[in-house]
Amino acid sequence: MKMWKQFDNNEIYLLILLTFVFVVLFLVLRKKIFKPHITLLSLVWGFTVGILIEFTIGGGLLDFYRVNDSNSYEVTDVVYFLLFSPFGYFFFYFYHRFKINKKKVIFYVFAWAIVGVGAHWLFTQLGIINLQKGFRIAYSFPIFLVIQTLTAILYEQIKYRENIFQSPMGD
Amino acid sequence: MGFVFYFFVSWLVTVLFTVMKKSLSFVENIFVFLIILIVSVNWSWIIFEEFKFLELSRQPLDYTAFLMNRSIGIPLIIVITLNAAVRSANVKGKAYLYVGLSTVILLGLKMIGNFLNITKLNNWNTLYDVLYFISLHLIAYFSLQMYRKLIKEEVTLL
Repeated sequence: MKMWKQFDNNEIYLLILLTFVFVVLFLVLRKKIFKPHITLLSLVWGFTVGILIEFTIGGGLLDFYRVNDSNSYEVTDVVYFLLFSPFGYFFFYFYHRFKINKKKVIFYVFAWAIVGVGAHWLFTQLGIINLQKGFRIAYSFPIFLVIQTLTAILYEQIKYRENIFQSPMGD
Repeated sequence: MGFVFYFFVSWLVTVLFTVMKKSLSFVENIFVFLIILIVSVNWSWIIFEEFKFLELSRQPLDYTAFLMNRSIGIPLIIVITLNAAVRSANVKGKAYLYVGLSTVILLGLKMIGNFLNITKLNNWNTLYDVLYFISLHLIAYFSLQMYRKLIKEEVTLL
């Protein structure tokens, strides 16, 4: 495991994106909607899902894309995986903010899947990930669709089992 | 054959976890599962793909079997053990017995992988696996302690 193969544009873009995403996260966290252990769970969820997908289809036998400059594990790859973490929280946050219910959930999941595909496209444009073995951006749509559906189920299951909000109404 | 075996194991641990009497809450179980999943995925990547201490079959079904054990079998066995160990925390030595049994099962699953030619040892000692599986139990335990501390602090603050 090395720091990076070559510190160039993709690493710089990655750091800019990470800074931006985490600044947004801290601004949103100031609203203190969820209890800290739910916030932590959402962040770990985002991080784990990112790692699971990357190491399943982005490496090994399938190896559909290369993260950063090489197929081997770089420290900057961990930075890339960290980028997924806040999105676990954002999904929970907007699910609550937009008052998502059974009727709206299809549109909500669909919208997040589009955001995911858009982010994937942006990463390829910035050279953070490089598609290989005939993999196309569109193929990531079903993956995001499944992930976002599972995240919605997870949110509903947690909310059903315990009070996840800091204030009684979650405001 | 490897695919059938590991699919069965993954199914079995999933059903066992679903029906078992749990000592951890829903969010605690999810949290510990995710932490172990992160470690399991990274560890397998580092020892197989980076350092190539072990060789992994490139047959699609064998590879899928390995992925199922890495992502479902190992994390769920650890979570099941943690639930059992926490429930029997008052009975002296029982928790250690569960951890020992779980380590033997995980080691057995690993050895069956070698036997079925899904994995091949290049520069590896089984003792490393024993240490790794024991470490996984410790990571699970301390993750739970940390998470419970966070929940307890919320109760004090609110």
